[in-house]
Amino acid sequence: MASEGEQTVKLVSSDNVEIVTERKVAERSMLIKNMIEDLGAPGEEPIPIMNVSEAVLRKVLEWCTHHKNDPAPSQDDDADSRKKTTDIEDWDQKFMQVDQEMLFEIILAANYMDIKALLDVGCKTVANMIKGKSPEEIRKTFNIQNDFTPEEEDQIRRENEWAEDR
Amino acid sequence: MARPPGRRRAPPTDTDSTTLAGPAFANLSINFDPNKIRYYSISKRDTKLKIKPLPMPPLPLRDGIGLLPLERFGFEWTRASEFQRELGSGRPWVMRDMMDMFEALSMNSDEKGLKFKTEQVDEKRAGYEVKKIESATREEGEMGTVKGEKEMEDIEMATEIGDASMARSRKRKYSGRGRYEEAEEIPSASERAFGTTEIVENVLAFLPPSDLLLCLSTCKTFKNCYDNSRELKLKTSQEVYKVVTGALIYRDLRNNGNGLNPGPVNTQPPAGAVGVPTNANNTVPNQGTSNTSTPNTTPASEAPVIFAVNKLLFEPVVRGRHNQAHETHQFKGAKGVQRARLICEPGKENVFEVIFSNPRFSNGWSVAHTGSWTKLHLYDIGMQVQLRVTYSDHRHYETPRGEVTVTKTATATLSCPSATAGQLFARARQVHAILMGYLFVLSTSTTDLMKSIDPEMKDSKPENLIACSVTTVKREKHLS
Repeated sequence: MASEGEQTVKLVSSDNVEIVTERKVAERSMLIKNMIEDLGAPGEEPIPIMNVSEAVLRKVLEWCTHHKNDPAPSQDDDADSRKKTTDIEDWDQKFMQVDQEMLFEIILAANYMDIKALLDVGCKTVANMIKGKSPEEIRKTFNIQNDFTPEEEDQIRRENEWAEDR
Repeated sequence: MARPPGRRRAPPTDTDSTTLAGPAFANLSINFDPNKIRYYSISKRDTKLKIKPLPMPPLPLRDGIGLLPLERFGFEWTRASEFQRELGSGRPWVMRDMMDMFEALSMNSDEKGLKFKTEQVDEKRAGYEVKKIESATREEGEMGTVKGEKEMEDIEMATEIGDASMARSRKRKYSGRGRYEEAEEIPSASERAFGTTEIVENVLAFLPPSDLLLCLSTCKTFKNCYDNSRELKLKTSQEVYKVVTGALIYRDLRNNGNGLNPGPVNTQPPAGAVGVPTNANNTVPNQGTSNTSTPNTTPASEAPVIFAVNKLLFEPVVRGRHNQAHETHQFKGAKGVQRARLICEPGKENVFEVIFSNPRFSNGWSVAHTGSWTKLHLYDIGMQVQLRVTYSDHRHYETPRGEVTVTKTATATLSCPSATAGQLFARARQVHAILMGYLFVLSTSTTDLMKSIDPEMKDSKPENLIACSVTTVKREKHLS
């Protein structure tokens, strides 16, 4: 019988494409890890990843493959990550050099598949895109609609304008 | 008189020609081919209405992959040639013919199990985002349509000029009767991501405090996320220190460090210290703080304490008389409170004034009691504050007996160690209940409150239980 490291799992994307990957790689996702534990026999039963298309799933698995030997994050690490800067590893930076639509697809997939580290990398990338930009520039970058009334916007701006010259 | 036999009365026979009965038609013969006869189902309704048949335009033929324009509205032009063959080219069509024939074909199609396989392929083309390509493969079976039509691709390109995040995907569904229905638009990934609170919060958590506060005016999603996130608020409250120009207040540290029994205060900010953010200790290096005009000024060797008022709790616009080093910070809000402000005056203990009014006529602010803001300190931790609670009710109204003027005011003060905003407001509400006891009949809740403080109710005076001093009680009612 194959050891746990050599076992493979079948993942089925939202567009019904079956992808076979190592169990260790797939288990970077807490969603898949829990599913494997529930199913009991990995490899036989395909695991549906309903909200993730093939292209995005392959991208996510690429990240998981690269980080498959990373230690599992602890609770303290989660708390500390907030205080850390938005520095991203070189490999992750290159990995995140995709178009904006794919970037957000990866973030959504990481959120759905419960891959905290990948979600953090994605969010850091977006945070870096926001950093140093004015609200108008942020709207333009992400195509966000301004849903404030001019009065509301002015009020919020006045409330926080003291932080501008920091 | 015998009627000439119509088609219904004289069904076709196997003979090629028929001689009609009757004297008028003795020499008349009609060439009749039963194989060429076609029957059409024209409803009686059409006959009654006398719908004039309209000549149809020449039917386009499918010569390649893709939908012809009218197919997008549900009409299968691919089978038009079949219809034409069925109906015969000499007879103009009526709409009912087309509908009947089309319906029959559709029913046949359903029976034979048309299968549509949809697959989505992402493709980029010419710098635009080609979002969805739907290909529909149709197994026509015995329908006998033109070869090469079995595979039909419908390429739906959601092209948006500019940002890729504008791209939206559209799905088209085959409804079973030759109609494609436009499915609901799927929002772009960025829209879905920014619509997820956890993701927005995670993104904002990675921003430095100043950028975080600045980006709040981008959209309501960001603002709501910040307002409801304790973590984000703590992040900004912990890391953001801002000393507003003129809001530097110096206290003498010689008596004690907490601001009690303060000596005269240096009202002159040190040169260059105005607007300088405080460091972690909320102190600045001594920059010549001595003021010769005041006898008990802080010695040059002692570092002055600087109050960094928490801007998250107070209005940013400081109504201060800077030349007198007198600051008043308007509190942002607390439920049931009419007004609250922090008054910083030199030589005096800082006062946090909470003003209540008659809730029948003024509800006060509607900010919730609970929330992350309740755990924030008004200013530097370790400083004493005098809590001043005021009830103020001034009303003037007309009655049948005349005009009535009501004036009810009461003020109580108590010293509090540095506490969070929530603790101070909770204390203020207790004091407010005491003031109500002076001005009105004590409510049950007030009695309960007193019992909770002193179960045996040894001291009947509530102010002694809470250790506040009620300084003003004024209750007037004038009828003029």
